[in-house]
Amino acid sequence: MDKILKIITFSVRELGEILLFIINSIVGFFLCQKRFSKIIISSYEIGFRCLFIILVIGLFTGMVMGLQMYYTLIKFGAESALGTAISLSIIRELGPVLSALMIVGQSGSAICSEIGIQRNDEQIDALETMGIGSRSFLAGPRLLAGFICFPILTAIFDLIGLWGGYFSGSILMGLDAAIYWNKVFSSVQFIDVLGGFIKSFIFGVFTIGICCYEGYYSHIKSSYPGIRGVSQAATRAVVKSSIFILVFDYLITSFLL
Amino acid sequence: MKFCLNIKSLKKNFGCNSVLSNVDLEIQSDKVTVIIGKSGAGKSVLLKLIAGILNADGGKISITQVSDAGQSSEINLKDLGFSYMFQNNALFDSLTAFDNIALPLIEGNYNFKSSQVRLKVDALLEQLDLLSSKNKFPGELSGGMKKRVAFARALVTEPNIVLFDEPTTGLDPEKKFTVFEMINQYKEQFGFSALLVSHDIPEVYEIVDSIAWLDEGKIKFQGSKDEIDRIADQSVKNYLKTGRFNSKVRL
Ligand SMILES: Nc1ncnc2c1ncn2[C@@H]1O[C@H](COP(=O)(O)OP(=O)(O)O)[C@@H](O)[C@H]1O
Ligand SMILES: [Mg+2]
Repeated sequence: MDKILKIITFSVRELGEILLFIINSIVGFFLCQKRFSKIIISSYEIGFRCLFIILVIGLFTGMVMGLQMYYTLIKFGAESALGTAISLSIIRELGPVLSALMIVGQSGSAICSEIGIQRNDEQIDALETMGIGSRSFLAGPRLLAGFICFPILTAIFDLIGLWGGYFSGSILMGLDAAIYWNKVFSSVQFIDVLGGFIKSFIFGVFTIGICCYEGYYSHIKSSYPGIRGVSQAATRAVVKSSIFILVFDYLITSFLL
Repeated sequence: MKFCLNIKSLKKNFGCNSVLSNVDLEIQSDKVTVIIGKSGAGKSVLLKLIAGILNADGGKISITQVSDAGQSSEINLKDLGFSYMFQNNALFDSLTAFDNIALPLIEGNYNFKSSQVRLKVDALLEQLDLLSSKNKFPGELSGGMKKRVAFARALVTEPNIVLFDEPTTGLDPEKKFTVFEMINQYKEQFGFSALLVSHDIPEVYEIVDSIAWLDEGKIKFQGSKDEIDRIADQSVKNYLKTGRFNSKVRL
């Protein structure tokens, strides 16, 4: 019991530190307006590089769901509800969660190692001696890019997932296409889409925040100095982000439902 | 600008490893001061404490500025205008040489137009013979060129004091000499004071006004070249003059 309490207090404190880091970076970023073009570069880094993997994962998630749900639903003679089942689970849950996990794996770890190496190479100290706020310079544009890119990539994931479900449910298994799409359009409500987007906004800022934070403090948070500490930090960033995504997915869902 | 940087009983520990126990040092404006000492003596730590990258565990660093009218006032290092040249250059690998040098002007607290930035950076690139590497990334530059880019980045903001952490490490003897020449020449041109860490005894003495020897967490000697001769202890004198405690070379 004591141990669990300790873990919880530790997590809450860490989350608070990360939140302060995020606020500090974003406020600093907006105070120095010369850097807005950096958002585009970071959006490319986070968004465009992940596009391919999002397309692949989205398509296959939709396809496998199409198959599984079809076999389950047909047992009850309810295969016409396939569109409802796929669209709601993808838009509400799988879209935001899986996209966020994929982006963290692809871009978050890269961001963390890049900042960690810059820390290791004293580039961050150099920024500070030049009078440049290193947090807003390094983390600011990435956080905003996360805020922009996560919802867009999630939307792409949702769309392609629905097509994947259509492919396996309708083209392969023979469910009527009109019934599938009809169910999709009639069962998805604005609140479902909004809920998915709220999740991806929060995931976007916080997971990128965690990755920047871990990289930025890789020199004090790792047990090894140097590059080995950076690789530790990257691992920690991915693990913490993934835990964050799943825990907060549950929390946000329970608030929204 | 006339100023005096005063360090009084400065302390720094990392955990239970006491790196600086009691450092007293005085740095005058328009002078070049060199800190010498063994590897691991804490020279880089001392420089970082002065630059405010690390926080001291005790002691005081103060800068007194004397205006032309003779009034003295205390200011901090940022307001004085300083730059720091890191031991490993700390250049940004994703930026070209030009962008690296322009970075403090563009992102720092200055309001230069981009045409002004270009003029300033190009002038420095030309003076330091870097024009041909202007658009190269640090990874494509040789060690000496990287040093020169880092040097240009340190000078572009026209600081009043520059801290150099081992500016010559990893260079061949001729390039070492060029770096010292560079420091000397630009010191005249830009009028900055310099505090440098170096192992190149006695070559570095050519350009310095004051020598500080850091050992066992303290400054055990500070003075000019001539004052070394007055030291009674023969082995210390040898060390300060040649970099070796025992002047005989054993192979
Ligand atoms: N960030 C740090 N954390 C822990 N120990 C450090 C740190 N920086 C330096 N040290 C220790 O301080 C001592 C002096 O280091 P340094 O100033 O780099 O030596 P040098 O005189 O060669 O520049 C070393 O023993 C080093 O282990
Ligand atoms: Mg050093």
